[in-house]
Amino acid sequence: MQRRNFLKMSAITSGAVCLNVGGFRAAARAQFGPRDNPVLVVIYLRGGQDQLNTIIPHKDKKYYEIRPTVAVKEEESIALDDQWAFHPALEPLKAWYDKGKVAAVVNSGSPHSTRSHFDAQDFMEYAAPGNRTVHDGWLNRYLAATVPEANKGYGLPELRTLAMQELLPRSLRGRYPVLAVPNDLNGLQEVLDLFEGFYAGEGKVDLANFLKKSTNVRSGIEADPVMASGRETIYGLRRLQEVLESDDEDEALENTAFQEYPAGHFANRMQKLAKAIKSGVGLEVAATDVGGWDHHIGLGSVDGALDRMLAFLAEGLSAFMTDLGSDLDRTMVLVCTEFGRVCKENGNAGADHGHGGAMWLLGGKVNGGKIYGKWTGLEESALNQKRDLPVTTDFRDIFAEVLQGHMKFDVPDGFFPGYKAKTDSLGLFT
Amino acid sequence: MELFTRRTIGCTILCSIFLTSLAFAQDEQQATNFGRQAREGTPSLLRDPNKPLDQRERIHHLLSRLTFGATDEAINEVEKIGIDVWLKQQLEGEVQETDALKARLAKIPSLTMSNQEIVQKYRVPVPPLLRNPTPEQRKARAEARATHEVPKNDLKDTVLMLAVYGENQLKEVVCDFWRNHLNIDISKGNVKYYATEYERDVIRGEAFGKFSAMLNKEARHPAMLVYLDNYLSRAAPRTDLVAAAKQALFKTRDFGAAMDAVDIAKMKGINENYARELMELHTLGVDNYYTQEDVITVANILTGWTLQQDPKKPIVFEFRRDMHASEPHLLLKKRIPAFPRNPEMEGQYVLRMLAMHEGTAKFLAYKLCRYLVSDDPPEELVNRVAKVYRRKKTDMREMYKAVLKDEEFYNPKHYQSKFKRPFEFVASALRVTNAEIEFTEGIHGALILMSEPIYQCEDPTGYYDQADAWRDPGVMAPRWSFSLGLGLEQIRGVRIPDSYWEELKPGNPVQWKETLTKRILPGGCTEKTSDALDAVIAKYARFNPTPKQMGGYIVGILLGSPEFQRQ
Repeated sequence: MQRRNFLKMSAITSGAVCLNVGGFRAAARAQFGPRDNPVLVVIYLRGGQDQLNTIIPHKDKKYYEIRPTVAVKEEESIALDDQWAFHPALEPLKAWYDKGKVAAVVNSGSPHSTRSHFDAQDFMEYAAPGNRTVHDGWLNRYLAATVPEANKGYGLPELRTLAMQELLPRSLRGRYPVLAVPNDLNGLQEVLDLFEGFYAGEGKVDLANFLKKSTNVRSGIEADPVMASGRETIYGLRRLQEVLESDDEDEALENTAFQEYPAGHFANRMQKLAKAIKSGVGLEVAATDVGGWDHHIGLGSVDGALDRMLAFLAEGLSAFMTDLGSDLDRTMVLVCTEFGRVCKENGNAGADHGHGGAMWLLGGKVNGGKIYGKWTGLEESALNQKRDLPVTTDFRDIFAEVLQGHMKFDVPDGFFPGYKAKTDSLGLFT
Repeated sequence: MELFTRRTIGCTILCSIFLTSLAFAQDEQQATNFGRQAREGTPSLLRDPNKPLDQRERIHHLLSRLTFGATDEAINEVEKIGIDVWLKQQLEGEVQETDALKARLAKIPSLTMSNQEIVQKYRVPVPPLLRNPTPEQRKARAEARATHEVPKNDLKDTVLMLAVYGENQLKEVVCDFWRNHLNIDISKGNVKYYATEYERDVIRGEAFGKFSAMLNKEARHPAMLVYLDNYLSRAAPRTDLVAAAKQALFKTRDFGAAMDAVDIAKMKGINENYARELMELHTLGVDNYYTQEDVITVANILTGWTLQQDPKKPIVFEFRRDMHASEPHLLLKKRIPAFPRNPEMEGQYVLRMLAMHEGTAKFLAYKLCRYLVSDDPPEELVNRVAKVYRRKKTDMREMYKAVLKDEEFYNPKHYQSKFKRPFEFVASALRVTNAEIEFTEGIHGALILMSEPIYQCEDPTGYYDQADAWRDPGVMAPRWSFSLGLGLEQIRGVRIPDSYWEELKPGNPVQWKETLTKRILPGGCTEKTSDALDAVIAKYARFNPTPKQMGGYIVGILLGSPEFQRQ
């Protein structure tokens, strides 16, 4: 029994719509109109990313004192101004920084004092520090609160949101259904086609109405929830594949062919996202994780684990921004982590769990080329518990400003439980 | 007879002496709230939910919930011996395992090792990862890392093998329940070196015992102490200890051990992590009966519950008096007696008190009913089971019996109403196809794609067992890939034995379909599934397939059908 025979057969069996790529894009545009909606991509650096060796206070003697082995030497770092320098691995982002498309907020983080990854990530992704009753991610809450008119009375296959990994990050968990995208989409088309006959149905969805129901979103979409999930899987992934497999003759997509992404899951996911954004199918919110930043040991200076990880992060982000072309103007990448690391290095050329850390904003409308956040120095008296960078910017100030300033979403009271939006913004957007 | 027992775990200094002095905590009636809204299940596609189950359906239901995959064959067997006899055997948990399984597990050395032996053998030093490593550096690093993974992979394989091939299916099912109820994550720090013993002694060792004993064991187990940070929890900082711990341990170059010890010494005070989860997840249920002050009280009482830190000695529980906060304690509005000679007893007293608490009885009964009966179990059933739990002094076998002997268990609306978790889906697919597993990478890989790798739930809640935690758009794709992969033998190291196809008569696709449907979906399938299957077969007939070729497709499709996702 040959696999090819099976593939042939399954295509016949399901009577599946064969790929009609050009037609699809034309249809998508006709259906939705050209999309110019703002896009938010959230990248979560899991493990507690170290701020001090990333955005370096390179003129501060104290920095070299407290990090005798892991400090990045002044001549090796990339100076931004008299106060700050980038780790050399961030070289690909320097040009973007100079163009004003990259900004960072130092000493940002959670008002909650936990040093537990688990709690700190939860609190940040649910955007509810210390509150264990919130179980909807902040991005999911945004999606549920802003179902677009075009989606009303329409089905879920709209690619409004994507989790670029098999597990939804907590920020995207919740009532709004989010498609979790497998890393490897190869060969899925046949599988989707084959099972369509078993799961297909006529159901159309009024999403807005379903979200109003207090219980499960999907309860009303289709009498049987397993059938519904199967159908959403088929339509969602098929739609995504159509977008990803479309050719690049279209003017809006032409950058892809020339843009080199580095190897690895992260860059691969960013490349898929870039294509989805440029295709104008209405992608609004996407998220992906980059794990492994918990450098208790071997953080290193310019030759350790941090160096390697910052390099692939920076290369992937830079390729993504180039790839987006003019769509960069409507796209914003927010990079977060649960906390920074202790200022003093430990005995293993690493640093333990700290408090304040750095968040990054990258995109066309970012008021970049600037390092934001109140810096209070490295004197012991200025540190949190005499050891960590203090948090001088609440992460919710940044989240709120991203939703308000970039997504044009008027954040209602209670959206961030127990938090009142500040009246004076950080000025992150032009 | 348990398959991988080792030395009996040392002295379980159970505070049975307190039992007499400890009256049931009779708190005023409090509305029980498990912090979750009612969950909808996945009602059967096939039958009227009001029509009572016939005998065969009752057996099918029983086997759907108490085994990893009910087959037609298994239903026939139970029909022969009767439900009661089958249940009695299974509740003993001592059915003889097959020689094949025994031989297979005997080949895994780490299963019978102590924590210390595992650490000594597998936790070898790893050189740091550089941006441009030489091939030698790369290789040395890869090898060291692979060695670290051995005990963890052995454990995952064992759990999988027992679920698929174990004869004591009920035991495997309840172990799965407790593994999630008292979750640890082998991805966190040193937990992976201690998890084997945890599975052996805490989960398997106590699955038919008393919850009070299980609770006492998990609270003291190095895997849990590290996973929920209680090993760090201490009364006050001691800078002298930090220096001493560093000196003593960095010399050994064992960073793993050094990290534990130095972290303990450095801790600035109590760590609430375990104390909170103990009440929220292991006993009372979220925000039931206890307050934040109670969390702090329990954290204080459990200060000094840590692990022995000398890498030359066994890695076991140790009570450290110098880390313990000795204060008078008031918990759940009750005074906890002081034990000045042995303050460790305070903690044991509290664990006993929590195990016997009515809130714990209700919470455990609720979760067990949710797991075995319905995503939204009837309150009356939960109350009946909770009563048995307290009357039988936290005896879990009695609790299982209370659920399984209750007529509510067979209420037709629960029939096929639970959505299989990925682990249940994978194990049952392997079971109903009599799959032979040579290597497991492909299976574990599929479980990662489905987001339920074994023993790797990061969240202390454990993996959820309700449908709505698993039905996100996108999740069916890896299930379908796995289904077809299994049917077509495209999963590396996994195959369906030739004997599986023997009953398929050459040139008779209708018989193939009927035979395989009966085997994989003993409850039958919907017309829609049947029609879709016919369509596939009709198109396929052109290629003149052999029974095995065609059968592979039919199996793959049946495993991916909406019916097979339920139990």
